Amino acid sequence: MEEAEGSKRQKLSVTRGDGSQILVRETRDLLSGLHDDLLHHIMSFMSMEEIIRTGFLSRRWRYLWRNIPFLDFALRPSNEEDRHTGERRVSFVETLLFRHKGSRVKKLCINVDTYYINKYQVDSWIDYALDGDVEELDLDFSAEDFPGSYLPGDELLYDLPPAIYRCETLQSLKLCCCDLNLPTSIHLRSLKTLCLTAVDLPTNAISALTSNCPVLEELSLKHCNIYLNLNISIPTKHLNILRIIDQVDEFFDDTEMVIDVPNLLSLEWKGCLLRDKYHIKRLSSLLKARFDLEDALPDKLELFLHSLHHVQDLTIDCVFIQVCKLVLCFVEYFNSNWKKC
Amino acid sequence: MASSSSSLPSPSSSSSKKFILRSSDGKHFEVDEAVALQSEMIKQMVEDGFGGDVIPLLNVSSIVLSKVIDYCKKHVELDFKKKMDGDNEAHEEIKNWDSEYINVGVDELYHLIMAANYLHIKGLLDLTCQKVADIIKGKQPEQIRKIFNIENDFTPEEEQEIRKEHSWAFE
Repeated sequence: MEEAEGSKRQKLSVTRGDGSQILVRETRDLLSGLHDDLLHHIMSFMSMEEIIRTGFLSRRWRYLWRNIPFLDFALRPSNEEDRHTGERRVSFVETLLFRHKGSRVKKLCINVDTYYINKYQVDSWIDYALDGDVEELDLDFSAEDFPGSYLPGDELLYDLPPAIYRCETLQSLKLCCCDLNLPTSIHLRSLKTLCLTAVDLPTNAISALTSNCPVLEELSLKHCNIYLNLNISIPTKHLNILRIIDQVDEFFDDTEMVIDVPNLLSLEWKGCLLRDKYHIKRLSSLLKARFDLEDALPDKLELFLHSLHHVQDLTIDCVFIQVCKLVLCFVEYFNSNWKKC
Repeated sequence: MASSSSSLPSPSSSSSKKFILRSSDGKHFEVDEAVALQSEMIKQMVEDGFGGDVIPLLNVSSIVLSKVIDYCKKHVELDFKKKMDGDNEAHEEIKNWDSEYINVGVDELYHLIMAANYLHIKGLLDLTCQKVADIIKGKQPEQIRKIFNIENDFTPEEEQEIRKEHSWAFE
């Protein structure tokens, strides 16, 4: 640990031009001595602008940013900024990618309102990451005024390039407010985490996606199909955790949800149980379930509790439900568990 | 400073297996198994059959190791608390403790980064690197150079060149 020993302030003698010696205190620049990977890790906690600014520090730092393995483009203008600024930020990304020399792009995050971009620009950014054997993609195209949400039938909805679904290195895929544009051929052999927020899923989309992700461990569905039926059928795949955030619009509460995940171990549910019907088919492997409910129809919760009587670890957090009804549900739940014991 | 026995109330301090860690300057530290296994590197060593004897940590001095052990002990304790009291309360406590812990000088920060990287303690590596990033953020290059003793080895021509080169990013 050569650098470590140099950390203490050292007294060094320096010979002057006239031959005399003076003592100077010297403190070494320890930071610049760190390996590129560690300096890149430090940069991972900074914005792209701040990262590029480090190029001013010294020769050691000048080109360091060009090999960073993560690209995080948060392009939403703040309130004071106008559309022009938004467009300029897009050209910032274009120039940055042109100058970026990394052979690997482990992670690409794009957070932008589709208002500011055209599809082909974003396609090319994603292509760049796919060429760099990307491991993590986090793409959020929600509308500026409604972060995390979108208007149904929005013609500006970005449709994903199908090449994403054949990326062999991808481990984590997070998508928000886009058109999945699922191709017939999907093969995501390294994908462990899939998180879909505010996307509309056709009937067989979840089944088609998950059956082609052999190592998938976590699936999160947040605000998906809020105006449509939602079919969560994963018949054969082993899944560690399923996270659902479901908040249906009270004027569109005639929708239904199917849950059929026989090899699921843990379920986390946030939001409400206000859909017209829930078809809980198979949850036979479930060990742990947690419900954090803002609102729920008592008969719906009862239905869930009946289906989850075998679960060992059950947590329900709900303030709005009728207390007596809930007590009844619990009594039934514990009765059935006692019988099992 | 020859040993660091557990004084904090740890969930498993009375019964669990102990490990002895030896720093680069030959000092021994006795720690609980859960504390030692916060390090992925030690975990790997134990899995490979090195768990019985003293575990030599050739790249970490006793001063740094003692500080690293403080971190691991506290996080074992807080992880336990998280399980008992729920995420929110523990999360706040972890945040406060971490920000107090990492309030150190740049030299110490550097040694902690090196140690966290060598011992593969992800939480500590993130904490230390985040701290360096926070120090850099919002400062002019000259201020950053001063804090970290970075020598400006650019010639005036090069500086001009870089300014031109970076104009696209900061116009």
